[in-house]
Amino acid sequence: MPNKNFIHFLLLLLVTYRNKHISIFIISTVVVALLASLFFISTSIKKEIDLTLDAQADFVVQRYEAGKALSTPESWIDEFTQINGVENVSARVYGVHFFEPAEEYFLIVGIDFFDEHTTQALQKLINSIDVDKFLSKKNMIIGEGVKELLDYYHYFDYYIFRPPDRGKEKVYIYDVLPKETQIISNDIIFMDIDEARKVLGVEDGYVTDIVLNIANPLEVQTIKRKLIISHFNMRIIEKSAMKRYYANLFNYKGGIFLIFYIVILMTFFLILYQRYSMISHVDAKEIAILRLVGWRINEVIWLKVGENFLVALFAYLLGVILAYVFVFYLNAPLLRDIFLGSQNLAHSAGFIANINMEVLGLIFLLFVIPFIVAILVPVWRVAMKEPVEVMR
Amino acid sequence: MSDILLSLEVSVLLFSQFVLFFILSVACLYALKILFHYKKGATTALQYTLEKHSYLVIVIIQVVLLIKILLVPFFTYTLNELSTIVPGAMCGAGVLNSNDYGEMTLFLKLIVIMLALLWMVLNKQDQKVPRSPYFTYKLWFFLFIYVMFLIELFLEVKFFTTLSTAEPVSCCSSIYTQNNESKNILLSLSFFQLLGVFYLVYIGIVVSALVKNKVLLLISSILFVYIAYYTVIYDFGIYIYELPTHKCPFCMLQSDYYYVGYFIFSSLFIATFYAFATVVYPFVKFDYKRIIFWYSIFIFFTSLPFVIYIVKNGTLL
Repeated sequence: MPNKNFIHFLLLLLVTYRNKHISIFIISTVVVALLASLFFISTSIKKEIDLTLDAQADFVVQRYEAGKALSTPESWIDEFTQINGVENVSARVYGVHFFEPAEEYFLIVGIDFFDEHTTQALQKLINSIDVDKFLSKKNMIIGEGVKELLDYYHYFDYYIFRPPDRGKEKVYIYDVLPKETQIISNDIIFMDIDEARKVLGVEDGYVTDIVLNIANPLEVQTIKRKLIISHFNMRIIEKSAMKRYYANLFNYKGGIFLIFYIVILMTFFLILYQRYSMISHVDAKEIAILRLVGWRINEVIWLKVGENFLVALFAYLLGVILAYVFVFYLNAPLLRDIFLGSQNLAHSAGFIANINMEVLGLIFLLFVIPFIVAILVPVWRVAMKEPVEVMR
Repeated sequence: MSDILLSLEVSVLLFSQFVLFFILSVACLYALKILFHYKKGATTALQYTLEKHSYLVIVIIQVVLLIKILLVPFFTYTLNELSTIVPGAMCGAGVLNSNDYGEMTLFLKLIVIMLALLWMVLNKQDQKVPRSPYFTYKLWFFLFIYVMFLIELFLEVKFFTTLSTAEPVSCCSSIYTQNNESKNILLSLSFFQLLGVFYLVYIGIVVSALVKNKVLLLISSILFVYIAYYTVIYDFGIYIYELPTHKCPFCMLQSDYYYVGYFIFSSLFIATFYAFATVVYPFVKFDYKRIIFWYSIFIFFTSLPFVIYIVKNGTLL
């Protein structure tokens, strides 16, 4: 076990020969910083998606024929309400609006303001919403990205939609959605359900899909079976399946990136191996002196391992701090696009800081283990040099 | 191949394991070289070089052991994380039991660490005593550990590659309740019978430690690990979760239960290690106080939630 003097000596060595370690330290810091940024972005996105999906309904039901999703008849709502254990059955009307000037797509979501459940959920999102005022004229609530784009084209207060029936729908901007939900709500427009129907050209008596909740989580599978039997031309999407889908999607992106990154790591450790295989005269002399004053080979090895471990540890700490600043203060420029994609409305999403011991441990394992392993053999080679030969 | 491999935790875990595999293989080559050419008591230059090579083997094993000890909790953490993308799994147990390789992998991981710890004891003694009497033994022992590690690595890779994100698996409670129907004698015991057996074997260990009987200690400590495992799941576990139907060794490793599982299992592991080290090596002093101390720590951690529950609620579950 290392005692106080050993550690004191170790630190003394590190400070005295700091120039020797500086290059490795700088490269290590950059390597860790990049790695940590990747992990921070990935966990932050996971957290954000979890937060958003938790508020979703348990089941989404769509009419689905010949591999295409079609408008769902409203009469199904009453049928589903009859099933025991089902609650909060509500219709959704939504669709994509093509915004021609900028060649961008908006997601229009119609909301039934007479349905208490959805209104409550919306109230959570926007504190200031006043339903009476909202319904007094044609209003909409838009995401941050939509707002920016509309501002750019000088639609400061309203926007005129052109529905399929060749009419004009002038809808006023009521409010902008909060920033925290931006990953999902960036391109969203909320409006009253009848208004959305008009804009999207959904016929009366039909809706885009139906959502429903299950009161008792143990009954989910039973109710799913009942739903399947009720109509054969429909598709049921479960909340847990959605969660898995998103988790897999971001795992995939992060995983591909990580696999490429492991190649970089390997190269780095090869360099490290080479660097420590070249024994400088000063090094050899220092070790020879230690051996001559009675140190054993394994003690010298542990001294060298300790020295390099400290370099790796400091690089790790600095790298993690740099990554934190990069991701959560600077919002990870460049790296962000790998995860979020930049095809549609550009995301200016800020990442929610979500750091836990597990992530830090993950980075530590990925970096420090190969680091130590790479230096073991060269360090041992240095330590077993014959002291008398070196001193001659 | 499955998309599980792309999850960050799994790729980091496998990467670390392969790094260890690489460095252990280097150590293995050197160990074989030493074993082939080593002649006890010779004073040739070759002999001297070989002894220097043995330092590399020693350092590698020490570093690998440290890393492996870090990796076990990371493995269980990974299983718990994977339970979010494996349908049906609610904690690590479901993921671990989703194919035939999981349980074996975890078991071998613990075995490898136990063997490596025992190896360290042998090595320490070898370096302390003049003329290194255990020099070749410890290298053979290392080769054995290396083979065990290879099996572990194979099973782990197999486990993760056959893990499916599409097929539903059972959650922990149903796995450990289904086991009830098997022919395991321990599970046919009632709550208090099992508890009685558990404390009886504990007393057996204390007695065999006090009378310094190695055979008795070996038998009782092996028996104890087996019984303790079941008692923790079926008796103490339900008091940790405060739910009579929740039987699982994995959920107690989560933050919801203050990570109490790690304390329970690591104290059992340390206690068993000391018992084994005392039994296996003739040169280890029979330190009965240390053995009894660690077993009692284990008893303390398992019984604590039980006692707290009874004091708080004044009744049994």
